[in-house]
Parts: sequence; structure tokens; C-alpha cells
Amino acid sequence: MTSRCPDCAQALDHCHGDLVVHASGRPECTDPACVELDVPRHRNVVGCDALGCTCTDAT
Amino acid sequence: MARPIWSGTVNFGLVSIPVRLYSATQDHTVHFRQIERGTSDRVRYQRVNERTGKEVDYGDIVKGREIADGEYVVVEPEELDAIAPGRSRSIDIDTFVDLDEIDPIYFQKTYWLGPGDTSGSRPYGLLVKALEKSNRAGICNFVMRGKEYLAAIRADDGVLALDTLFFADEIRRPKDQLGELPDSAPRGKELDMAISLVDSMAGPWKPEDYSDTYTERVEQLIEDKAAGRTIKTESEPPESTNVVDLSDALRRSVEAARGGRGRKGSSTGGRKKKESADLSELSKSELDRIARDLDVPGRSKMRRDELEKAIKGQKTERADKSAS
Repeated sequence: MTSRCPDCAQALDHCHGDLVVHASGRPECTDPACVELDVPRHRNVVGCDALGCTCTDAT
Repeated sequence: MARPIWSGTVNFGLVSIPVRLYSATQDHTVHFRQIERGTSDRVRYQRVNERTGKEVDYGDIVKGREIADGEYVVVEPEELDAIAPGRSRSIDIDTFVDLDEIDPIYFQKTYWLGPGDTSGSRPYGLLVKALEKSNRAGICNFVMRGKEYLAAIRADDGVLALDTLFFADEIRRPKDQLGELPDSAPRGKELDMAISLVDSMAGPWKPEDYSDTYTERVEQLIEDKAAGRTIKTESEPPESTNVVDLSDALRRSVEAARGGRGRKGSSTGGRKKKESADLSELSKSELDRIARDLDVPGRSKMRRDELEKAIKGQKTERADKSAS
């Protein structure tokens, strides 16, 4: 729960982690407690290259 | 009851229905933690201020677009929602299309769209019935957490389902992905034989017949490693069919399928065999599946040993009933 988060204020199901999407489309969340790797639950969705992953190089 | 991931209204014509959006599907992939090799130390991501090196709280993170060297335009989440004032709080149905007209490639993910409150239950029920009877889906756009979605609202099992759809420019054409398209012209009677094979393997769509055997194997691998057992490896997959042998491969496949050996059911043969094995040798995921098949009450909260005991009890109970 974060006071400045509009989704917390509305008691909506969401995640504060960053959803990292790999080249194959496989998602991974930076929050180990994330229960569902679904794009709409995350405000921050990044490509895996943002974390230094090189799997995009293979495509 | 699950918490909604979004709430707002669905508008069609002059009718507004308060709704809440819930996930309709769940992923059962095994979620691993990241550990540094040679240790039991968990690895985690941190959002760190590059200048101070200190971790930044989620609520203190805003988005910024660099417009000059080191100069950013900062955007708050509320500002992103505010530029789509209607679309972040409401779903406006633009048009109703025949459901069968939507190519499956456009479907992304399904959500349940439940009534937001009791005041909207009549128009909600009306929309469900109208979509059911017309076999149509309402096409709409809406904004959720700073991203615009194209979606189709349809009736499913007496409620509204919302399928997020890919935009047309998100679909990749086969030629762009595959390069040269394969020469697909069949030779001689190959097509007849292939159709015959397809027909002989035809069956009704029963999603419950399929399980994620890879996830079951991952669970088994973890159990085996935890117990210090030898790791079982799978045999190599069969080699692809030589083009010269295609007719022969098709003929033998049709024969095998007609004899019942080529049906997908053959893969469940192993499953049945495993079920009859000693329950103590089975993984928790395999016990979960057997418990589900036997409809063991409270199975989702049971530990492995409890599942084993409950399955034995259920089997004994059923055997007693059939004997009496």
C-alpha cells in the first residue's frame, strides 16, 4: 500500500513491480510477490533489454 | 471474492452499466526465485536513484521523457489518466460485430466483466442476453494504467467477458516473420491422405483432457532434487519426416490412428499407468490432478501427504460404494 498510488486508493488489484517482457513474450516481474504476470496489473512494463538482458539479440 | 483490476462503466447507446474487471485466466507456470549460484541468497531487483544510490519507493516514481541532455518532462500517473478522461473510466462500445468474424490471432487475454453494483444488474443482464442471442461482440477502446486497449465484449456463461485484442498494426504477417513461405502444393494423393489422417484423429474439444506436462515435470524435478533422487531425463524427440517418405508416413499414420494408436489418447496412457502406481511415488502436481479427477473436497489447501491420504480414502469410499 502506497499513499500516492491511485490504484491503492481505489483498492484495485495491481502490482508495484516492473513487468519485464522478454523477446519470446515471456513476462517476468521484479516483485517476487507478484501473483499474476499480466500487463494490465502493472503500470511499469519494460522490455528485458532495460535490465541488461540480451535475449532480444537472438531474434 | 477477487479484487477487480479496473472499475468503471460500459456504455452502449445511451445505456451506462457500472462494471468491474477481473482476470478470467491464471498462469500455472512454476515461479522460481532467483538465487546466486553456490549460495541460498535471494537476488532481487531494486529501483535505485542513480545519483544517490538509494532505493526509491514505488509511490515516488514518476515517468519522464528526456527532451534535452539531462532535462526531462515529468508526467504523473494521474496526468496520464487525465488525458483520456472518458476512456480511463468508461468503456464505450463503438460497434457490434459478429463474433465469428474476429480472427483468433487478434485475441489477447480474457477478463470477466462483472456488474459494478446492484443498480446496474438489469441493463447488465439485458446486454448479456442481447449478445448471447445475436452472437455479437461489442468492440470498444479503453485506457487502463496508462495503456489503451482494444477489446471485444461478449456473453459467456451468463456473464460478460471482455477479450483484449491486438491492434491491427501489432499483428505480424507470416511473410515478414518466415521469409520465404514454404511450397505447400501437395503431390498426388498426399492431400487426400492428409485429410484422411486429420479426419481419423478428429475429436471434440475437451480442454480438461490436456495438462501442462512440462510444469508437472518441473515439479517432479524439484521434488526429486529435494529428496536426493536420480533425475529422470526424457528421450530425444523423433526426427522430422523425410520428404521422400511422406506418403508412407501418412499411410502408416492413418493406419495407426484408425487402430486407435495414433490418437492423442495414447499420451494419457502414461497418465493412467502412473495413477495406478503407488501414490507415494507420485509428485504433488500428479496427486493434485488425481484429487481433482476424484473431486476430493478441500484438495487445493492440502499438503502432499494430506493429498495422498485423501485420495486413498476417496478411492476406498468409491470401491465400497460400488461393491454394495
